[in-house]
Amino acid sequence: MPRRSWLLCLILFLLTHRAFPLATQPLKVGLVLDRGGKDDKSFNASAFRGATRAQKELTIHLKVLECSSDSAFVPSIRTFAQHGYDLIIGIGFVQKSAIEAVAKQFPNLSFLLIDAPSTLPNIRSIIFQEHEGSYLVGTIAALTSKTKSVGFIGGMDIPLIRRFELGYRTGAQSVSSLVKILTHYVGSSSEAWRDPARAKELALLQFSKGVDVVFCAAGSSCLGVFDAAEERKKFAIGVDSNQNWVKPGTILTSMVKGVDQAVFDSIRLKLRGSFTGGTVHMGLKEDAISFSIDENNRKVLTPAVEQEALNIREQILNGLIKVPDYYHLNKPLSTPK
Amino acid sequence: MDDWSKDVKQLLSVTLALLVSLILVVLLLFLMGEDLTSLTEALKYTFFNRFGLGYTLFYTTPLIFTGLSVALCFHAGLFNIGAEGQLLWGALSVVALAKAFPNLPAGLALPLAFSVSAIAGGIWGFLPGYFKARRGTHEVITTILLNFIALSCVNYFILYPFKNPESQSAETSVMPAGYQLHTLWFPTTPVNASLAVAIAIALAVYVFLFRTSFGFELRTMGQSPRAAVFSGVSLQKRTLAVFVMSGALAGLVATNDILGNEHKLIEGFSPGYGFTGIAVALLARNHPIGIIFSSFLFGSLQNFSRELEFFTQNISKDVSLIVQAVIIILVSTRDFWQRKKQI
Repeated sequence: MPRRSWLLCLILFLLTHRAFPLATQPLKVGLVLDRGGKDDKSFNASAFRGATRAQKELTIHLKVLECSSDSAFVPSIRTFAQHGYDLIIGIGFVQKSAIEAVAKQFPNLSFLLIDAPSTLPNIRSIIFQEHEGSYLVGTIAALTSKTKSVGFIGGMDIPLIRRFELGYRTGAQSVSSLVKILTHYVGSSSEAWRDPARAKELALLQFSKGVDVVFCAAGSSCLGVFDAAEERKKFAIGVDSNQNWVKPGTILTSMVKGVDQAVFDSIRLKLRGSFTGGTVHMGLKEDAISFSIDENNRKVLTPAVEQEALNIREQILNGLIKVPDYYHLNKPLSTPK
Repeated sequence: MDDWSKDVKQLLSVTLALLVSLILVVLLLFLMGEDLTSLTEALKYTFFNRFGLGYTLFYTTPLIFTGLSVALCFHAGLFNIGAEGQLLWGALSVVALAKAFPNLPAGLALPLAFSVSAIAGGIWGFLPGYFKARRGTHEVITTILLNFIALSCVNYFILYPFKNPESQSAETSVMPAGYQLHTLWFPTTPVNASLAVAIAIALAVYVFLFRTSFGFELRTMGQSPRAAVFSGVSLQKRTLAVFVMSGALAGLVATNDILGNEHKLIEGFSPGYGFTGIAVALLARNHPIGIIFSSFLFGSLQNFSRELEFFTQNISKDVSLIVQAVIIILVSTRDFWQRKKQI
């Protein structure tokens, strides 16, 4: 009997899956996430959100691949290219060389690279002005801090994260030159993005030295920082995605980087046939960088602080405040090409 | 004659195990509501076209090296859990060589890089061999610990002295053209000449183990150390020698992944080749020729799981890992199938 039902299932299955042929060929989009994966609640999650939104609203064919190691990027990207995906999206600066290698071999396909510049004609690369948003959350941190000392926890010690730090530091000190800023990095290798235990230790260390607001830019390691802040009843500031919901009441605000918007817009451009290569900068002006306010942090972010932050935002937009950019400090290691 | 029928039985049981796992994969796809064509497509892109087969063979090569490295030690009754560390030093040494002599022509650079990677791996293999031979420290402990030391040291070199200043990733600069092994027969895939080297070395290890007196001594030592001592074998010297050779084999992984593929050293480039090598060796019952085939099985699984993830809608990276694990368990417990048949 079981053999017959198994056969029946098979026949039924074969019948049903042949019944819905595709009418037209939709735009094929391949998304390659970095090691954080789509559930990092931060950077990759934002890209994933943008892509799934495009899938719903623009009726594209979307396929997402997650990579478990840095050597898996090239095979994944190449698999998409081999199957003629129209637009292939690489999330994170670590994919730069992989995307470039495949883009050279497949000049007819379009590629989107987030967080790293590229000069190839078929790669659109998007650089976010993280320093502007970090400046804003720096002022929010300093205004909220009762002890007048704030902390920064970075992931991997690289120019990209130094850029966050410099903006944050300048923002905090613009409130008062007496504000103390403590800085720690989780590590110098890419494991630093996925080490919440170590990030938590660093946060606890900063809290023990009087810090009461900490800004974390360390991918999924930040979850450890949020834990520490909840335990010690301090504030943490989220990064990349709106992370206010992760621990309502503990997360003061999030420095939101519009990766989702960038991904969505690029897919739409590709769909309309106006996709172009080149490097695009997105910041406060494009509304791609912001700080988040919602029902989860309404109670902890006071209206006065919010108003002040909005004023500063205006001043940055008007050019009254110049936020220093680590990429343009002319340090030998700081200018990625 | 008896050996021959044993081989046939082995082959039959492996085939049976693979068939059972195929049925299980079909069942899983069915339960997850997947299209069955995804399976045929994934199989096609693993074995039956140039792109797929190229990647499968590319993943096979490092496993042949680490599988041989582990198996050689097993024959002498020793456990080399340190292939991972040995291959890291091999990789680093190749990068260092390219930095020291950037302008060598390929004809000189490549043979030199092959030897240097083997020597570097051999030196790292010498350490646990020395501790075992002279101090009696258990090699499982020392090789595992040496893996951590190797990882930290090599990461230091990647992040500081050899760091590519133009990149934010943890990687070294791209090596000069003379050090790049190029793809043969399979365009757009990274499979390269080191596959041929790996197969040749597997044959050489077979001859060494089963046709030379040194190999005979090693196997005696593995089966009965006391008998070996009584027949005049110096365990200390043999232990040292076998660990150096094992390390050298593991070090050669760099020729495939660094010379042949990335042309630079990326932090964490090895997805655990050294540890998969243990499974590869066990699956092949430590037979050097068998290792070629079991590496191919593991290599194709690595490629197959990615392709399956690509062609299906609901099968994520984690599910394809489960598929991979189920197949490995089925194939490695193949005796179970065999015995059942004999009853």
